[in-house]
Amino acid sequence: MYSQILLEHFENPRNLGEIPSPDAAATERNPEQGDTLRITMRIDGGRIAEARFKAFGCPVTIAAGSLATEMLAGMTIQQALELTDAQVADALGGVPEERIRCSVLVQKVIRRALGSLVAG
Amino acid sequence: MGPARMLTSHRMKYIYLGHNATTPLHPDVLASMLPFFAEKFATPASITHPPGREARDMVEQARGEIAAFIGAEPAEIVFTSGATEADNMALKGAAWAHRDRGDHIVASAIEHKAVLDSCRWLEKNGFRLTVLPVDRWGLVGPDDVDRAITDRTILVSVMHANSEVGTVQPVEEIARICRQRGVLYHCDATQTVGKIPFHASAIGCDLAAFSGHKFYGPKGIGGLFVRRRVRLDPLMTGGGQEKGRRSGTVNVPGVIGLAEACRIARRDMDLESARLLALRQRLHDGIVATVEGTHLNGHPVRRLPNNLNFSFEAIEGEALILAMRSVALSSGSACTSGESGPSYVLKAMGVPDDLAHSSLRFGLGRSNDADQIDAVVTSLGAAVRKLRAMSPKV
Repeated sequence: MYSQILLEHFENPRNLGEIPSPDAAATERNPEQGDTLRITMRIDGGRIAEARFKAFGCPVTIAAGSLATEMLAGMTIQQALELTDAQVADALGGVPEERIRCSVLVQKVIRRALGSLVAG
Repeated sequence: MGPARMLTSHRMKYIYLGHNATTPLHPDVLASMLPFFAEKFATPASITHPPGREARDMVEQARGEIAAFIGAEPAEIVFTSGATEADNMALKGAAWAHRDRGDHIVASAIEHKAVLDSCRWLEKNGFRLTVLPVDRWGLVGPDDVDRAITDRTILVSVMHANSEVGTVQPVEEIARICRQRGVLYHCDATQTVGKIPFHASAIGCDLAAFSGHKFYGPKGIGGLFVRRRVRLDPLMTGGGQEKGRRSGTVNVPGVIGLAEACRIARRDMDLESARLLALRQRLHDGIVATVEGTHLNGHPVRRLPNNLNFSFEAIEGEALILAMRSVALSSGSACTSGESGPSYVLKAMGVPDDLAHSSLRFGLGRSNDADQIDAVVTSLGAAVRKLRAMSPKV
């Protein structure tokens, strides 16, 4: 049902936790199932130096949070803003369409966290 | 150990707690069936030759044993492919045969989908449906049954026990009300036949569905109890087998295996259900002592001896199952059921959505022992702690 990549991220999540006094942070919750993803980031010279996550929900939510923090590290803010949930789902080895909608909350979280930096 | 090897080993070696979904075939059941595939392959309809007559005799002997086990006459048993077909036959067959008399069906909100979807099909075909509520334990109120029956009602369908939460319904009382009001009562006994005593004539139901693979019998065989003189239109028409009630070549190995499963259940039921009750208590106490924020779903006493259903605050069920790795379980979470929302059974009982999403069903059976139960409790505790530590504060 799930790819080895997804299962591996679920079992051994990377960058779990919260960056103290982060440069950018946001939390998103899917109101139907309650899946929640929080990402905190440290930004250095216009690039994301470090990203950490916390998540509540199904295995997809948790694995997507873990993988996203790996993808985000080293990205410019612009690159991060262009990251889509579909890309995260692909990198997880594929997630069914309806599950992307309810469980991959990455795009919304990043845009909420970084949107204000760009606007500011 | 790399993740790939770990996953392989977890597929190979796990603790099976899905006995409310299905059970492994008992070795004695398998042995009883084997001669009837290649050696004694004749169909009981072929009474013109000795092998056919032998098959007929074997099937009729099995029918007698199965009937005795569920408190019925042999002529009251119709073999089907399982409980889904039996439920379909009961609902659609009775409604259709009695459509000159009425157009109203009553069913509880927590019936199996085989019943509920048959009711919906009947609704699409001109019948009316009343869905009975259940209380917080999952119990149907006999007074609600009485109130729901009108002079147009043909049939009431209330299951003996629920597959998700194990709640055992007051079926004798419901049967009595149906008899007094002159309507048919269908009791889906899929979860009880073979686990706890089920006696059709003592309960007083008119129809009852059951299935072999729920109690160590084979998949693909089940039956419908049809009380004498109850009219049913057949779903399957053709060769007129089962006295015209269910055409199609009888599944002889399945029938033989079902009879053997009944024999084993009759012999072992008292001891095995006492053993399972003790194991379930151990699991219950272990969970409550190890994990904070738990909620028992279903009735605390009136429930199947092998079933436990818990919700875990601030946990999602599928993640919990996956985090426990080597335990085979099911959840009321939407993500595991393929439905758009969480378990309709828990919803009907008034369980909030977040707790329904976090529910696990533990179905104990013959393969489980105290060591396994202790391992499950340990694994569950660790998984809950791990997942809760991941959770952001909202």
